[in-house]
Amino acid sequence: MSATPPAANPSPLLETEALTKYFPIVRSIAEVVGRKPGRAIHAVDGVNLVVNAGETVGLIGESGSGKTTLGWVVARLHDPTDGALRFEGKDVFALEGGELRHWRRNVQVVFQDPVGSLDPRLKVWQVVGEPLRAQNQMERWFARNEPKRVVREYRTKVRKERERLRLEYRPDLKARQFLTTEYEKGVAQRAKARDEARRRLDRDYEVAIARADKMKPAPEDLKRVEAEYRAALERAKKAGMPPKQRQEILYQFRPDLKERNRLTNEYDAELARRTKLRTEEEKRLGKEFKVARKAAKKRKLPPEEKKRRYAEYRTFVKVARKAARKPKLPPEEKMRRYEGYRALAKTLPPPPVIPKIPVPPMISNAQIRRRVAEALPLVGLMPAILDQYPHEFSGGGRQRISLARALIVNPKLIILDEPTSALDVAVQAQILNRLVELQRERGIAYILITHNVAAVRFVADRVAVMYLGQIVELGPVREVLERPVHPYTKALLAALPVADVRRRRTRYRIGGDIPTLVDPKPGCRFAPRCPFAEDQCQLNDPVLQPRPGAPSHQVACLRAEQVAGVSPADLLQEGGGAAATLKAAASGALAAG
Amino acid sequence: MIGTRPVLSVENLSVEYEVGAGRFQAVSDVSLVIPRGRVVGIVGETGCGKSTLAQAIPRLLPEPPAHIRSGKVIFQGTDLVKVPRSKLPLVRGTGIGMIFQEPLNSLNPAFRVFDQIAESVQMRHWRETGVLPSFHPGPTPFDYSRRPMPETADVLTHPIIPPGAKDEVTRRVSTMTRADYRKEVLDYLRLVRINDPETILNLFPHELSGGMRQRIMIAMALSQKPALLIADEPTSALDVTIQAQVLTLMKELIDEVHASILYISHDLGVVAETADDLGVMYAGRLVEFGPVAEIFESPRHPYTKSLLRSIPTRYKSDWPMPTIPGSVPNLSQLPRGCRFHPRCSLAKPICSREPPPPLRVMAPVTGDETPHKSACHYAEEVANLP
Repeated sequence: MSATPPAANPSPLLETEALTKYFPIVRSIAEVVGRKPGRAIHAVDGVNLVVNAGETVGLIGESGSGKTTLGWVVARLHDPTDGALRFEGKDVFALEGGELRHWRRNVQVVFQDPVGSLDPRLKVWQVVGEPLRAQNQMERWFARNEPKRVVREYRTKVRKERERLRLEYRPDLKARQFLTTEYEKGVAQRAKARDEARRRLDRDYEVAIARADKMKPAPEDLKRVEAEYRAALERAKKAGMPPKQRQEILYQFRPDLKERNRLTNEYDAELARRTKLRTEEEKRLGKEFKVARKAAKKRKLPPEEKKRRYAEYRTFVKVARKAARKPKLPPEEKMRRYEGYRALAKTLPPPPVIPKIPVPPMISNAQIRRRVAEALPLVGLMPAILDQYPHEFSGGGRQRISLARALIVNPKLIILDEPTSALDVAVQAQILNRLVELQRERGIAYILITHNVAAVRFVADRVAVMYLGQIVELGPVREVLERPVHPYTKALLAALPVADVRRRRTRYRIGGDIPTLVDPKPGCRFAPRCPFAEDQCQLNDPVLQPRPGAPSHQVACLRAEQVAGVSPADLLQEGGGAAATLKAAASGALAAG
Repeated sequence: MIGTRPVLSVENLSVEYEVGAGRFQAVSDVSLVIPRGRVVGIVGETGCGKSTLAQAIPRLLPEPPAHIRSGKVIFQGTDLVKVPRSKLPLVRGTGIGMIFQEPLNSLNPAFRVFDQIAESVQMRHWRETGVLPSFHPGPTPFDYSRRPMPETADVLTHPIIPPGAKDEVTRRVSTMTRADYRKEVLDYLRLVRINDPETILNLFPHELSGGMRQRIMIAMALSQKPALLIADEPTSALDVTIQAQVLTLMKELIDEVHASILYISHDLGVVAETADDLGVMYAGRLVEFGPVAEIFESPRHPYTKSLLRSIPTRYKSDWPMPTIPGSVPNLSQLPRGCRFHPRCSLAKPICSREPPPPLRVMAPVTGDETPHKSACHYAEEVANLP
């Protein structure tokens, strides 16, 4: 595979669609009892990524941006929460058990920690040969099970078809089944809608409370206000006030508390109202469902019609069987029956071709050793190390062993999770060279997960910048690293250390707080730290969109075109911490552009 | 600040490890000078002896298997190599602060942040006031900040207490309360720019992020009021954005507390940004030393030159990227002559026969006062390398 950009319309090797992975947070008992909706960490949130055969996609971003989780989900080491993953057009999330294990040879992972991912009790040939043995095992499994699977699949299809035909002459059953699924769907839908509404209500309540808190007296006034309140209280007590009035006096001095109380009461009342409404609605719908079911029972066909349809079905089966058994009929009769058979058989799925796969022999240790000895030179290791243990190697050596283990089954895609972050520059250069060379020889695709921008620059064709579970910028590596558009990419690049004493300067530091990943608020996730953020950024979700004039370069930023002209170096100007300066720079660039 | 007596000078230090039957030198014949208020960086590949050097200076290496073969480590006028092993606890943590690479492994998981920093504040407090806690078995720890270390190690066996006040002082009990420690610990947490230190104080190390843990380590090291801070890859485990924060912090702290830093790293980018002087180590030897600008502008050792060239700055279309052929030699089978000659593009027959001359002073290119030294037969010709 050459390093030039892939052909105009290459078939994607891997394609994700709104890939999502949430890690649920265990609810406390109080939350369960209070019917609070469950919360989750949104590690990967709606990622659309395409990897073509033989290309490298780099994933960069800070820790906690979901790079590794994305890699794990793509390799199906984590089960996804939502979304689709197609590998060579096949839905990977539908695979299970042996099929999944058989698929795994296509995607290999080089894990972040070469010490933790190599079994210290296995020798090099055993560690590297392990996937070979697993692959052999799965090939044998596949050869034995594929015919069975094909038959099973056909039988399922036929059973479903029979069921359909049976329901054709039992409309009552059909109607009942339909009603039941509809009812269950409705229940689930209503529960989801309620959860949504509850979440909205909670957020509105929080916002309103925050607004009420702004009415609170300033901290320096607090003591004074309290003293005044106490004085007023004393006065009222002397005047013989009823105890109920106490609260009113407090509210005179603390309007924020009054507002809070009102809001909380409203909130509680709303919750109670909804609970009541829900119970009533469910009762009513349940009753309606039961009535409808009863009515459906009466929807039987008239006996003669039922008999007619059933007879038709049986005749078809009989005729078809006879036709198959006794082909020596007069040609016209044969043709007539055959036509009838064809007409009905169209509704049945065609019989499958049962594959005959020879079962490969079990792989021997000698064969594994030979294959490993052949694979080690690929990553620059000597075959003489077969009988050594991983701990005898330096960090670079272990990383090479991990790479050899990934390569040995000839995968189509390797997920490289920080393959060089623990290595020295000289070794890093050697390994990166090797990766590119192997890609050219074998056409392997890589997903390179790293925060080392230098490695991404050298190995990747395209690069995706991730921030808090979302891709914020995606495009050809030169384009993204030299003319970054998204403010986060700019900030990340400006924060890199540069091995050049002439450009020795303080690096850019991203200010602001990192928003939480637990049920993140709507709006751009980078907005709280972004020097260019406006009010709209806090409210609207940016969508990954191609830039005008550069369809391969996608950016998720509402102000993409305004900030495109600002270079990362502009973030570093004197007094660059002030957002005002940066905004001035942005508008300056806007005016110039 | 610069120009007075150096904080630390290492002279011809050699450290050996005895493992099984073999023994190999991890650090051979290294000499270094760290002036006051300056940041000295050490770079080199894994296994070149950087960390051994960092731990040998405050005598933190386990002895055995490590063994300081020869040389001097003169800190504030005292040769730390001569301190007998039984007296080492008195020396440690009294002027040299240490920041380790893995903050999670160097913090005790069973104690809250407060307890860990308070312990170090307490030790310093005892040292400064001459208070002997009842459970402390030995004599008072030595206090560098009060007087210069005596020339001979024997003096260390006696507590350093004002003459004539011995009994009175040793029986004094610390009057510091927990609240006092809390106040001081909070000051140090604020010094390392931790937001909301009151909350952080009560957390356990595992509840903090990597950057936060590293800042706790720095706060612990600073609470000893060290004259020298040894930072062994302090930012290697951190994100670039966090790394930038920690580095900026360290630079600001140098100005605030007037400490010198020995900064050990394999990241040339970080060193270029942080260090004033730079030493390059290869297979246990210091092969080049000088002002950082000079080393980056005109390296005078072929190893430094190829190390600088293998920093990836290229795109895939420029494959392959230059790299150093071969790998770092095994310390038990070092090549004869110059240790770098099997991987050196400049190597001539003399390089495999004779070890290179000790560090030679080169003609300065920039106006920095630290001399630029290189240990290569052909130091002048390195500049002409491609």
